[in-house]
Amino acid sequence: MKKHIERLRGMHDRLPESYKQQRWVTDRLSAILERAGYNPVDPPILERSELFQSSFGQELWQNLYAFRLHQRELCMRPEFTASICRLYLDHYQKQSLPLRFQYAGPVFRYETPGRGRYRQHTQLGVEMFGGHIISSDAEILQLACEALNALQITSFRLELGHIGVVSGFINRLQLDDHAARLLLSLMEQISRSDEGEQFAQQRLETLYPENWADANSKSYRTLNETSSDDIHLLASLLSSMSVAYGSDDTRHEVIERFLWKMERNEQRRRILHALEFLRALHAISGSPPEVFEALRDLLQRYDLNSKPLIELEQLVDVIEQSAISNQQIVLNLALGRGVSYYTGLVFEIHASDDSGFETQLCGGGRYDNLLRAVGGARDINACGFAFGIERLLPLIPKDSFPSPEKTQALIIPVNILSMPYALKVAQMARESGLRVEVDVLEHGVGAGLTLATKKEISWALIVGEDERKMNSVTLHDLVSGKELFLDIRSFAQYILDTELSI
Amino acid sequence: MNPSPVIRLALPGKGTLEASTLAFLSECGLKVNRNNPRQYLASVSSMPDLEVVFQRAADIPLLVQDGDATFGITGYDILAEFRGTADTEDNEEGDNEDILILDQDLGYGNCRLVVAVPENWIDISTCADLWHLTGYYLDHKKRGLRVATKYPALTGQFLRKHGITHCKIISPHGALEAAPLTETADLIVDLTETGTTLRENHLKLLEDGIVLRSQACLIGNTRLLRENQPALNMASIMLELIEARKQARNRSILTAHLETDTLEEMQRNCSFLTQRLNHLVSGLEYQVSHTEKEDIIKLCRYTISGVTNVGNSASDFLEIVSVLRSSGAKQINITPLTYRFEKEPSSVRALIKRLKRKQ
Repeated sequence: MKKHIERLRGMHDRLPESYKQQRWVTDRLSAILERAGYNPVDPPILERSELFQSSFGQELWQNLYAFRLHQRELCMRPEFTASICRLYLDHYQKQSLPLRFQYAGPVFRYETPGRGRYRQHTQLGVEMFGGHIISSDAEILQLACEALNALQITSFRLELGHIGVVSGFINRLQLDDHAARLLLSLMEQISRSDEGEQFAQQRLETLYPENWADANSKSYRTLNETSSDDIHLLASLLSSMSVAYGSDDTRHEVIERFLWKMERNEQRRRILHALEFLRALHAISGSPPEVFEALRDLLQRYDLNSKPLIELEQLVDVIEQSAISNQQIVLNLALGRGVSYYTGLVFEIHASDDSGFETQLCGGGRYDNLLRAVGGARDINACGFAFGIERLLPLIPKDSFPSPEKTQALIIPVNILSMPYALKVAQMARESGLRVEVDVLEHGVGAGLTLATKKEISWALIVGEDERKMNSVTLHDLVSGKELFLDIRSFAQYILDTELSI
Repeated sequence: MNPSPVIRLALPGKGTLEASTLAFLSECGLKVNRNNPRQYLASVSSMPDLEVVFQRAADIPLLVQDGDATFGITGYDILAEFRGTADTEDNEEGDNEDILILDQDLGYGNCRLVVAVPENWIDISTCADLWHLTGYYLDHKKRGLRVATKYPALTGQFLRKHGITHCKIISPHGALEAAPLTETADLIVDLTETGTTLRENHLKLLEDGIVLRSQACLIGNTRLLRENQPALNMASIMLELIEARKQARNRSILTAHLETDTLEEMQRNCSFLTQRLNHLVSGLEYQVSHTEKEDIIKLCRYTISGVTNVGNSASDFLEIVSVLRSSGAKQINITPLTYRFEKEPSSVRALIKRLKRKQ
């Protein structure tokens, strides 16, 4: 016995009912986006791994379906944004901005599967290149809410954040890029859960341990300020330790690195300060307008630029007028998303299903540096969002899906010789808009009629030699048992008319 | 009915694990008969229905996963790389549930997979230092670290765990130790037993740079074990023998025949010996049996016997011997223990439980 080959874990077969529902949702969303000027594009599923590594800013991104084929590092896309950026660079650089794109298709992430979390799922989203920050942010936010409303998903929660607040704080601490990236990546964990916060604390303690660098030291120097005395001192120390160095360059590099490390140890105080700030920021999340007051106070207390906050206030003002009430909005300036390319607005849309299980339906934001990161010559304003289609389905009221379309008539050839004529009848029926099946079981008229009854098909079209000669069909009404002899040009209309009158 | 499929055990046929595996199995009473060392097939006389195939250790996980071999012995490092994770518990992902680890530590083939950096990197001694170094590289060299390893999956997992994501993993075919010297990589992740080779190549280990500790391990194909009762029976026998052998390893059985003049003296002697011996060696379980034959009034003969977990080193024994002598021992026998069966074979029970759970 051959071994049964199982479906991969976290991957799903989409069967007709849910397939049709999903396609209906995709078509509706796509139509809405198209009416807003977003042109559909379809990049390949497979890209060079480098594309996603550049967009995420790191080589060892976990959860990628990445592999090597013929010495090329390839990757099944984990999301569309980087692909659409590449597509823009390949085809649209000379066109004037703004440009609007929409996309829909499968994405792949090697994560532990769970409720609402699949290894292959369908994303539908938009990217807008160019445009002014507030206007385009407002447009995509409004569009995301409008799209959900159109699907009759109304009780969702829009979580808004802005990377600018935290990155402004980090810049002022004069932390280097490496530390800044770390803090931004930990921000997501802090905003997700208490365990995440503990994890973040632990990470920082490991990387910036309390040690001989005086935590209260007020004077810290940057590497440029390191005196040449220090370098000479270290160089002679290394010589005396008889550590072998291939060349003076190597020795110099190690000395430079050693000083770099010492200098970084002195960053501990500032790093922990940043962690405190992230916590404070996270603690203030809430709904406008009250939360703006508290956030303004906090920014003032830390003497931070309030520009990101003003941007958010303007945004909230715009979308409140068009798409969403302010009770549905939660401001969380510590909101971090899984990827590191965001530069300004970040947002997520969450909703709970009937059982109270909360899922994230949509996520997006602004990434003004991404196009350059994936190979563009300059930074271009860009923003976008994506829906997880599978997560939308259970939230859409069941009665809003179109009812499944049943086969209206079964065409029963009397015998195999009547098959060509049966196929001709079927074609004419379809041209008239009927949904028909041909009975291919070659089991005669009686069995064919039984089959039609079993499949709850209302009409049977019996075709044999007589019918073919007279260019007609025998129409059998399976509900009433009535039989009619109709011309091939009129039977379809008869069925349509009768069904309409019921 | 199909004829019942051949039950195969795949053993490492090349490299360091070959000889030690054969020696280990022989100790377990599962001696492999191979007519000449170039043959790929062999048999085990105590298990006539088992066919032994010799393969490269690195190929054995795939053979077992595909069911071409029901059982296999390979290095845990090789298996972990094959599964793509260093986590010891059952792979929750369930993606590799075709392979079941029957015994993770057979007690030989010890080695460690470690992160090693040039010894002149005075700024680097921990993984946290390495994380800082990636920042330096991005800042000054505009690139990430390059790590050379033959274990890319385990290395990637380890580095990610330490947040070191700005690096490129390369897998050269040749000797890894040379990579930092020839500047094809900045550091390496490699197997080491003692660290000597690394030191000779001017490399040093990181304090917290152990990616994996590895020994030889016994694996089996989950599906075949579940569907094929004879295979499961064989697994039980092998596990039972291996467990009994592992329990007996480094244990010796010691018997001392003593004589005293009076019963009181014997009792005194015994309590003295209890104290001294417990002090001397841990894990000595012994009992006193009294031979009450002949002249009870005049002479007391008794025997002290027990199992000790002292190694095979003579100096350990000699101290015990002198204590026993001082208490009047006439003859002391020490024999290495061959098997030690517990009340219940716990590894067999665990296997059956896991087979059920995975269903």
